[in-house]
Amino acid sequence: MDYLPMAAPYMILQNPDVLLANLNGGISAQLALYKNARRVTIAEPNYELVNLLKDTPTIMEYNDNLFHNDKVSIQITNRGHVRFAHRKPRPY
Amino acid sequence: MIPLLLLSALAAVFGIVESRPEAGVVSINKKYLLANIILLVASLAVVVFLGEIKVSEFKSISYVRNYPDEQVIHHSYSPQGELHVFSSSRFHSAPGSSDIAIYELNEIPKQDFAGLFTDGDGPFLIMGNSSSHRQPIWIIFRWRHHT
Repeated sequence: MDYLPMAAPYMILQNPDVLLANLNGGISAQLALYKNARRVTIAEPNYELVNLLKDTPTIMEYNDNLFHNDKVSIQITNRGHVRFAHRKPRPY
Repeated sequence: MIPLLLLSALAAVFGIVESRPEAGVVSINKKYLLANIILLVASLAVVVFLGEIKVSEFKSISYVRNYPDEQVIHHSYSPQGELHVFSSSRFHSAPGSSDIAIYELNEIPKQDFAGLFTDGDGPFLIMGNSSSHRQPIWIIFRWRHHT
């Protein structure tokens, strides 16, 4: 996973709070946890997909209960980008 | 399909009910009822014996069904359609990376992905346990970088 382009931000940020604009089958969340993200918030518009991945026993077993991890939270919204835009920038 | 047929049969029964309020009588004509029963039985027989939906052999899900190690790990119906989740060692994903590197491999490493198909379209890849991805297909990109 270290060699995926989506791993690049974690080279710069240590233990970041991560906002994912889509669930994407869990790969982005798995990567964030693998890279020691402090917290992962996922904005996903598709309720059925969330229900399938989070609450279906066979899938929960398959993805190792990823979405019941204490660090991971999912928000059902199609406005993930708006959430991101309204967030106050962190001072550097 | 069968619940829909039963609902239709119920509607048909209501359709043949005759009511005469002046006499205070509600009745059903036996001939119409018999015709309804015959039609219901015939419809059920057609659905049960000939009603299987044939998926096009060119649809994505038909290809997956031909994988030697495919396994259906979930099947359900949702407002979005019929959902199938298949697991197979033939699902691979490396988002954002070129798949040209795959030609350099003698053997494709195992990755733990399942494929979600909605009404036969897909796959939408679901990542499995991340521990199997620590040394996966992406190692090839590091190898290529150093050569």
